[in-house]
Amino acid sequence: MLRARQRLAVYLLMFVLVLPVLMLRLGDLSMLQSAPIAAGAPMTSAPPRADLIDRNGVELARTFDAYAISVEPRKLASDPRLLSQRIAAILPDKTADEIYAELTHRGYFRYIARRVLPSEAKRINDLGEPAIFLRREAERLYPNLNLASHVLGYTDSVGKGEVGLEKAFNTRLSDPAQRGTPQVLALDARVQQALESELRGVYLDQRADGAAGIVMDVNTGEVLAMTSQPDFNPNAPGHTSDQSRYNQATFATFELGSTFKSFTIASGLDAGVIDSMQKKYDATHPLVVDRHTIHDDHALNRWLTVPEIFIHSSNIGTARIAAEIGRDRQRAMLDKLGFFKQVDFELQERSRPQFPALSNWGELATMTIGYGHGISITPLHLAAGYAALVNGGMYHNPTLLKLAPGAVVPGHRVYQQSTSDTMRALLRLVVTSGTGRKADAPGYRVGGKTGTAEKVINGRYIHGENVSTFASAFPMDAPRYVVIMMIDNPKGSKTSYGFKTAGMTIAPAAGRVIERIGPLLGVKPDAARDVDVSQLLPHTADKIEE
Amino acid sequence: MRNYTGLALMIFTTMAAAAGCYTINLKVSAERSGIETLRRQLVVDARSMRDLQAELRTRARLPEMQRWNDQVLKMSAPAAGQFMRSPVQLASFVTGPAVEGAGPGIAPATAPAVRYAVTAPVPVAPAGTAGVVRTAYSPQHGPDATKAAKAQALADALSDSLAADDSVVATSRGNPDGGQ
Repeated sequence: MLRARQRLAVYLLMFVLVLPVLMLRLGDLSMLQSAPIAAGAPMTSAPPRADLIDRNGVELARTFDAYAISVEPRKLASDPRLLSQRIAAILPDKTADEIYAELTHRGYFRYIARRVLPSEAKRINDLGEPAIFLRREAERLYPNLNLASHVLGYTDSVGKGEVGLEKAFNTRLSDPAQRGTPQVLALDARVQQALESELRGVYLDQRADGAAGIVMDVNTGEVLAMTSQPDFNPNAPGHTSDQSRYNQATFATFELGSTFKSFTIASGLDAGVIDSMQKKYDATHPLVVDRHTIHDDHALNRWLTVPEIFIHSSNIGTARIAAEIGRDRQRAMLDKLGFFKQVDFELQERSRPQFPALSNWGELATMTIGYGHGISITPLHLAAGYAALVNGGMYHNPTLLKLAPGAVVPGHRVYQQSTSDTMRALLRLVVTSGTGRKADAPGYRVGGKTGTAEKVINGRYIHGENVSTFASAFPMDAPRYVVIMMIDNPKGSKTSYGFKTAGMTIAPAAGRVIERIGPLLGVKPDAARDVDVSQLLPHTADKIEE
Repeated sequence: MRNYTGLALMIFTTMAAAAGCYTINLKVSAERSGIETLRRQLVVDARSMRDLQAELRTRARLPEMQRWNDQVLKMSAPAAGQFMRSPVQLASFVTGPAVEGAGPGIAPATAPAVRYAVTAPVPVAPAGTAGVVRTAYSPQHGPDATKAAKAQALADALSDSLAADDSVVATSRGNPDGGQ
């Protein structure tokens, strides 16, 4: 009896113990073990690579699941010759022989085609061949095709950035913690489209070797548009030439000619060398320095005031101003503008400017660099320099990333405010009365400077081949945007009356770009407003006739 | 017998508690599973939305818009004179003086001709015959008729190309995977 009682007590004890054990286990299953299940489910709507979007949220690059057609040749059930013909009839980019080679390959697995249209994938699936598989693969898509192709770049077959922002931001874009959030760029797709459309029109019309264009916010350095012609389709980068993939806006250096005169005159104003707009310089005859003769393209053969030197684009007058400024002050100014180094910028495709060594930088070099010969920079350098010229004198690094409204933008002073104010009026005068008249978009108070320089190939000037540039900003009473447009070796056309100069080739396109992007950027055209150039007009004798 | 009753009661209580806990656990698991299914459905839907957005934005790409504008719409950026500087300038466009003596609700005998920027919709042709693109102006006679006919032909061609245009991205219309 006692033993029976003991047994019962033991059973009872077991039941009593079982209950907490069961409850502990239930707690473990419901609370502790459930967490790893949820955490272990990696299913997420975040793309495998972050999207790139413009400043208004328009997608410029995204990842999507594309179809890839593959085959396991050893499991093929139907006649490969017949099957290859039927597939070739569906896929326009592939021949029957190419497909046949894949179908009869000795390997275990072969791709027939990748990035196939859904309708084509469906038709191939309907063929019913069990050895053919349709797979979904993550592919990078650039919905706007060639738009901003040099800026965006592209990825390789495994999704790693190869060129452009895809390369520059590769770590950020593929970071699992950040890929769900799109990368916001400073670009404005609408502005980019307007710039590309107009620049491409000129590039084709002039049968040019290339062209580049940049639109930049003068107060923040944000690049709203950047293009290079010819361009390419980043969805199929392998189908284009190397030249098409070459970003001439940041990766190519050019002698940008008379557009440099703005920096020289600003430097003269800043240094006090030019103390009055009435000051005259001798341009009565060509200037001979060290057996080198400096000519004027539109020689007036008289003494010229500073505004006249600027609007008539006198090389002789600018050279004399540069000589007065002197080598050291000129170099200090160019250094502040960042013209001796690569632009501090997100893209890795950047070039270093080319300029003479200090030992070779004598009086002649000072004079020629004064009007843009003997120094090569990228169009992006020029854009950043012109922004500093018109925004009150502050240099800001260009950026392709959108800045928060009201953000403090780092920068350093290059010119005094008064110098910048005078330069605005002078640049406006070039468009109202000088070589840039064809860029005068009504109501937008455009200011700018043309530059037509002979092209340099392997250190030699090529006669008859020009690099024509128009560096502009608008509205000049309160500048907001710089527009740089450059065309490499224009041939002249009916539209430009056979001229190859910047004023006739690229300046009209710059005017059209400003007319298109002005309203988009909130710049209201107003024919009743303009920059006060009355202080400068008395110092100009006449208007230039190109 | 009494002793066994107590024991049975204890066993019953234990079993009841265990069954209760288990039931709660089952319910929690079912809820959790439902949430997980919902989460997965959300992810699938988000991916479908991305696919559809990709298709939409690829079709409405800016270069394509530009092509349509260059070839058909021919719209240009507004000129400086098309912007109003102030409400006063807008008011200055109202033509004709107010008629004196006209009381409320009484229409003046010679009402000024007012031009409306937005007009009533114009009746259109039956849906079956209308193309995607229509030209805005199509004279039937005179020297402009040929030009208008060409513009209409271009519009028709664009309509056809739009209808035949395929997407480069997945759509939600079908699943070509076919379970493979």
